[in-house]
Amino acid sequence: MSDRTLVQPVAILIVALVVVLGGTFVVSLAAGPTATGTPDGANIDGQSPAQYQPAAAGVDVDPEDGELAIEDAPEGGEIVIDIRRSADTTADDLQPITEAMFEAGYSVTVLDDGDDIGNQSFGEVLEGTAGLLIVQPAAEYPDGERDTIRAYVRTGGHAVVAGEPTQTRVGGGLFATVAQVPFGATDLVESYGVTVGAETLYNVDDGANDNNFKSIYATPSRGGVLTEGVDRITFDRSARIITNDDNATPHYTAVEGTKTIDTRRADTYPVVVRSDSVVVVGDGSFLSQPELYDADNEAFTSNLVEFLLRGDPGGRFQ
Amino acid sequence: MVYERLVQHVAMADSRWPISETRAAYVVVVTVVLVVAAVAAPLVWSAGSTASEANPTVEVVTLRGATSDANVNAVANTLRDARTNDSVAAVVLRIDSSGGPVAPSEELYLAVNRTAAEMPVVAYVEGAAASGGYYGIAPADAIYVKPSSTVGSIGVIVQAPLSAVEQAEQVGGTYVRSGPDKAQVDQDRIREDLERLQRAFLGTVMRHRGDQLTLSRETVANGRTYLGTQAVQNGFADRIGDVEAAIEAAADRSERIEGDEYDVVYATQQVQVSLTLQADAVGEIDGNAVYLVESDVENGEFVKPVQYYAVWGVPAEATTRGNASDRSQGGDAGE
Repeated sequence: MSDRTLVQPVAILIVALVVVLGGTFVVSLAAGPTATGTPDGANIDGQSPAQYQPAAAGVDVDPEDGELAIEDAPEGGEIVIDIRRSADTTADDLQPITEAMFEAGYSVTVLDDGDDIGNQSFGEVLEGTAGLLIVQPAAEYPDGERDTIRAYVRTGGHAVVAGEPTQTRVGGGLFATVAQVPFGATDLVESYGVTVGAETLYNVDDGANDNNFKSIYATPSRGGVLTEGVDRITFDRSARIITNDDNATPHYTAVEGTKTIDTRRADTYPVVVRSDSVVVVGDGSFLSQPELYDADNEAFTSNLVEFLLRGDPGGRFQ
Repeated sequence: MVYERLVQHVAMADSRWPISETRAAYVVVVTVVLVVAAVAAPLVWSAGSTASEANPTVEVVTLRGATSDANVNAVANTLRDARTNDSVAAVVLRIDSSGGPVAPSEELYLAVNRTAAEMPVVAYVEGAAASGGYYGIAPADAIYVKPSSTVGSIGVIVQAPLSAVEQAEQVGGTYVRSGPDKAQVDQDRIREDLERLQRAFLGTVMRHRGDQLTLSRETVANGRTYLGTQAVQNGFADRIGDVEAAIEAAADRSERIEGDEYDVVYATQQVQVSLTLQADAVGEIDGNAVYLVESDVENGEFVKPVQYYAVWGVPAEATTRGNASDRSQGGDAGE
């Protein structure tokens, strides 16, 4: 074998290797790095963050273990519940109350619409009853009925008006209507030195609401039949109660930090006010589920019914 | 020696295969070249790749649109690629999002949070980073905004048709259920779940931005939005600037970048699916691929009753009503 025969192929081999490997290197430089860097493996800090743990994100739920019981009222009384002008409360919603009264031996008449009165006057319906509960009135009472209620209260009957702040209601259909529905019994309750505020109350402090900023807590501000056995109540859509008469006294006030939703003023607003035989409550939704058994709402409701049953059924007011 | 033996072997075979010594040598050369190239080329390639990292990069990842499953999945994949790419030294998250469902918003947060644990992440709010959008950028090392940028809206919305809540009990009577809470929608439970999601969201913002925020936890929980200038004042954002400023800030925060010795890469992979139009048709999301299937909603017996959103906006139903009214009025005028 000649030297030329040996050297030439070896030279070509060297040149070819240089070209191939050198070319690869140059191309790889141009192509840049490939995604084969740091492994995306475990040992990750912060992917089970503290704020996601149950201790941080969990909520306290008020036990719904109370009982609606009418125990401390004169025997055999009767009350009237008027929901004819209520925005969204039905007779079915009030069944827990009517059943509790039936169980305790009391009578209740629920006025759901005008037909319930029939040929009777409103006064005739109230005749012989101890109390009148008006729930969420969204329209004013006619003068005649308003006068009847005033006479009813003047002659010994008890009345509870469960109102609500002004609310927006959206009608159905293609051309939906949006209407502001204010409290409808202003003229009635103002004659007792009380009115219902237009603004909804709210509280964003997690410890001062029932798991929603609009579900405020209120606590008793004085003793008596309305606050017996109650530590705390919760209202789902509450108004503040405004008074201009020393005779109108707050029995429940919203907890500290509660604000009005439009003007953002914070105060311990009264939400349940009593003026002798009339009680005005800033919310009407607590009378039915799912609010009825939240916090001590059922005890407060029992107290209200007992207050109504303590009215004088013998008053002649027509 | 091996070479000579090979040549001798080929020469001995000349009687059967007429090939010269020279040609035999070339055959050997070519064979050796191929073998060596196959073995050594990957090693050389790797060396070249490493050598090319002389300039680390700041990668700009963009999210424009809702924090939907598809969009968040695309961004999360891009961030994952950035984390596994040794050349990427920092990330700028360019965002214009008013949020979306809570679940993918949380996914976005976790993806950004993990990335921020490994390299500097600077957020640039191109338009809005509100609600679920802000959820995602909360772990960023810095947040850059323009005066017109919108941030905030910390809160959760639940979409539960009133009819579903009211009729759940009645409808439940036509089915046999295994328990009293099965297939039921309860207002109290919805509220509690909403509060849990809200606390996780609010806790996230306070954890990552608590030191910068001049607002109380309760004020943040109000859910208000803030424009850029105000956001810089109250701590929702850090600086006024554009995307270039955000890139520079990200580079400054990287220990691997010295001065302006870095490149900028704009990640391009984006998938956007309109939730309102096609969400029902999304059958599977795998990486950046979204598989659409024919909707069987019309034939379905069950629908998801509750949707939780971390979104800045008003219900589309309200705007639809307005549009319907506008269209009607416009049509009348046209006629």
